[in-house]
Amino acid sequence: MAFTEKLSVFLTIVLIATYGLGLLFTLRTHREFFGAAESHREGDAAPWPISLALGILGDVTVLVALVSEVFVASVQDATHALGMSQAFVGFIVVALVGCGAEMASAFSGARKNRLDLSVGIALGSATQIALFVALVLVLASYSLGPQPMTLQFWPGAVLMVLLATVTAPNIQRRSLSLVYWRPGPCGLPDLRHHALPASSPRALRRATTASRLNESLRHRGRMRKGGSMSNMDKEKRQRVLDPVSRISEIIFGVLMALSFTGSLNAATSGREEVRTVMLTALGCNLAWGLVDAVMYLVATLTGRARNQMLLRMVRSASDPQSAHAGIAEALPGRMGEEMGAEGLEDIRQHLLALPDTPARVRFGQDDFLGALGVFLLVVLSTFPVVVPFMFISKMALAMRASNAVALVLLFIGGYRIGHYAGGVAWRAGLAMAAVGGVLVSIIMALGG
Amino acid sequence: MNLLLNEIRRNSLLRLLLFVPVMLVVEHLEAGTPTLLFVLSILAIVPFAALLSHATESVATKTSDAVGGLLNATLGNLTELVIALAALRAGEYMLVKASIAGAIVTNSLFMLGASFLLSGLRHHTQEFNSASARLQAGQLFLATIALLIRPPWAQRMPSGPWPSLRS
Repeated sequence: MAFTEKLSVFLTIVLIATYGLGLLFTLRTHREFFGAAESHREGDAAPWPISLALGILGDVTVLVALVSEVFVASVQDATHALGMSQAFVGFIVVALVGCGAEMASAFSGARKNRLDLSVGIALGSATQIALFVALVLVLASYSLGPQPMTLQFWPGAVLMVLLATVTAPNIQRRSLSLVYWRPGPCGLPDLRHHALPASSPRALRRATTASRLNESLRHRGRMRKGGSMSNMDKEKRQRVLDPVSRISEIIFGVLMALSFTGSLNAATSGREEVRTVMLTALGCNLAWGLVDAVMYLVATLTGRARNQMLLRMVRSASDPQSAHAGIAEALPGRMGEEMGAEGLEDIRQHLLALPDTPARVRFGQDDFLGALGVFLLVVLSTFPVVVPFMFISKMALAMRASNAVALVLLFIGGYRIGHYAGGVAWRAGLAMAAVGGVLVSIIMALGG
Repeated sequence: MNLLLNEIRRNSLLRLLLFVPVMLVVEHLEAGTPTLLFVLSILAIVPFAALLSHATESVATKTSDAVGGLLNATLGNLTELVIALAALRAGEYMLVKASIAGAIVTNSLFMLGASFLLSGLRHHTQEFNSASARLQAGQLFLATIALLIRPPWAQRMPSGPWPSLRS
């Protein structure tokens, strides 16, 4: 134990130093890279004069200390009476109370389209807790607490924090990629999605793009008139989700479930723990399925609004040149340049010939079907990984079986994506399986 | 003082300040059950957190960029720090640890996700400085790994994802 304590203190000092260096980096030496986040910093409220602010800072800190004494004194009996565990109070209540004010300013920033501010607050505050507050607490426990506190967390907390920190940067990437890569099923096609091979002749490219535009615009017009869309319906529904998003939702679900089952320890875990982990994995995938479905809807709406913006821009443009520039920008990669003026003009004519579109973009039935599909794919992909634990009573064997199933699923997913992308399919499959293997070994090494 | 009153009128969170005297009276008279005190103290801390964050911002804007950034970076989570220090003195280590883990998860998932959603519902194209977001996400990941390292010979924590009531 003595060694663990020493390690804790050592890590603490290293991390605080990292935090300090990070501050130096952002505030001093490389300030120009991080300008945007800081320049928005002034809130919408008028700042107080410095003496008042300093006075409030001091007084309120003392008051908070007083109130938190009362809070801590009452927490034991109160949690008992309310039937909550201490961990719940700390995890949910204290965290929400402490972040409440920040959350309010992050949300108001987000509503005013100052996402920079929100992202800065959210990630900055999380970083600060992990790199600064937690460590100050460890050091303080040596003089304040009855015994030194180490930073050992229980496995549930380890998993949650790990998932949070792994997904936080991912959400950013995913949300951006969602905007660009999800096809709009019954709106205008997402032009970026239909990237064509660069080697195909220009005429073909032009014809294909134009016909795609045409087809889906026709469909749109029909929907708007409220006419029957039954014959279109069937073929549309088949492509509500394209293969890549379908497969990647499955892979996502499998990896998620894998990260939970991987944290089981083959030698020491009892049935009870296995049950809990299984339920946690399922619950987590349920939650993520929901999040993904909502993000899908948001992205669909976003893409459609962008397309409408393009349409409106093309119509209201004073001269063809500026309309061409807008269309070229919406096309993937260098396609706009390569199509040349006559190709762009072709598209412009198509857009101009369209019936009027409604001013507001809204969701159709297919969008909800797509969202439902996303949700089900993420949730259902938990089961293959979890089922071996239900039917094989030998822990070690069940674990190997579950891992094997997961690896096979990942391989198939990678194979399909590779096939779809026109690359070497089995190589993509192997790469995907390898990612799964690496993930499992990292989780095992982190000690579930 | 006028400024303070203005702020209270503007920010509805600050109306919760009413609970502070109520809590102090209840505590002084020893009239309430622990449950009542618990709820009252939570309600009293919320407006304090808002006041503290506004005060920090004000000091930060009045000083130079570097000093302001430093202040924001150290005092931004003052409320949580003070609560955790009180819990630390009482030896409630489970509460402290849970609040650390909870704050990281709440900030990096709930706050970030809800911000994206809110912003995405109203504005279709959103921009943010990805350099600072990347740096912070990287630091966060590093810290998490370091916080979570457990040497294999260290004593095992009580098994099961949730600990028993006392640890």
